[in-house]
Amino acid sequence: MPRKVKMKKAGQTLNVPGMGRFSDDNITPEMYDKLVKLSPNFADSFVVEEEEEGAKPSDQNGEER
Amino acid sequence: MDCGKIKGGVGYNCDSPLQGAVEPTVRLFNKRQILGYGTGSTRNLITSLTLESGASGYLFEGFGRSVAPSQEVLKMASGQNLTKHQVVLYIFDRGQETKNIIQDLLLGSFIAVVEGTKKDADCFEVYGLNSGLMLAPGKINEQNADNGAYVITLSTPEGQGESRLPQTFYDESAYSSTKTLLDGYLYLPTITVVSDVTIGTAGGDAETITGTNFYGSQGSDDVVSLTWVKKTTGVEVSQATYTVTSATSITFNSVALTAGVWNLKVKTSKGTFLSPIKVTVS
Repeated sequence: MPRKVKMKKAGQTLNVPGMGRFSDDNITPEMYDKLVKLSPNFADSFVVEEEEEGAKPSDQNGEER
Repeated sequence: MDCGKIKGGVGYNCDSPLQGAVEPTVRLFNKRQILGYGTGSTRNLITSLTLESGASGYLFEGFGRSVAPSQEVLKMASGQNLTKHQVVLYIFDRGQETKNIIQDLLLGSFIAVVEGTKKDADCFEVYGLNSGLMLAPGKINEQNADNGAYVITLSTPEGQGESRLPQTFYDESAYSSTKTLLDGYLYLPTITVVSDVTIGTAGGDAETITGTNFYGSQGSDDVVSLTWVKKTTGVEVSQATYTVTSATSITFNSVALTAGVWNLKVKTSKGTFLSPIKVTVS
């Protein structure tokens, strides 16, 4: 099932020396997996949502974007 | 480039004037165990730390003015202005375990979080985030001064400079939640419930204590000792046999104790907690 990764706090940036800066603008499920593999503690900075196949973005929370 | 331009002015707040001074406590982290940090909506504001799996910070407690942070501007050979971060702390203990910790300080690089006395959004500051802090050369102990306390000076290493001033650590919510967040990185043990607070002198009473961080930052038992402390005299009796059933629970049958009021003290590799819960033995 596809996943969507967001920062736990809107507007926050996670700085990881040697890997870069991550925010809602550029965090991907693949990078999330890489970070959590490095330390499970990175999971505290993110929220992972599972998306249903074929779901439109507006179906996620009922709000138009 | 937009470097070197100020982008705002600073006023004077009559209602909440600046309050200096810091608490005599420092939270120290091994620099290489901090893998990342969160930044918030204000530029350079740190909102969280991400530690290596199984790692923790450590609390160094002093007294009065025993923690002295400072910062100065360095002119580097390249012409850049950078900053030097420095935290001086007194360590009021001369036990071998403490000496071992100081010896480890000789070799490492650290990040210090200092707490101001005014409990507000600006009270926590992070020193050494980028270059780390190392033990500065010089005398660290004099037996005839300060009752033989160790005086540890951690500062930006010679020839290096921090590109930023010590950054504020704030979760963008409240002082209390910021402190809880920082304390969470220390994995210090606590005891919140003692199941039976009225037990017999002969011992053998089944007890369950509930608390936190009995596993420390690891996934298994981190309890070094469990001790009864008599309230009136401070006498200590070891609760030699106990089972750490989870990170939040310890079970045991009480040892024989003299009549009176006792408290339980739990020690893990991260620290010691003396429970305020009174257990009456009769």
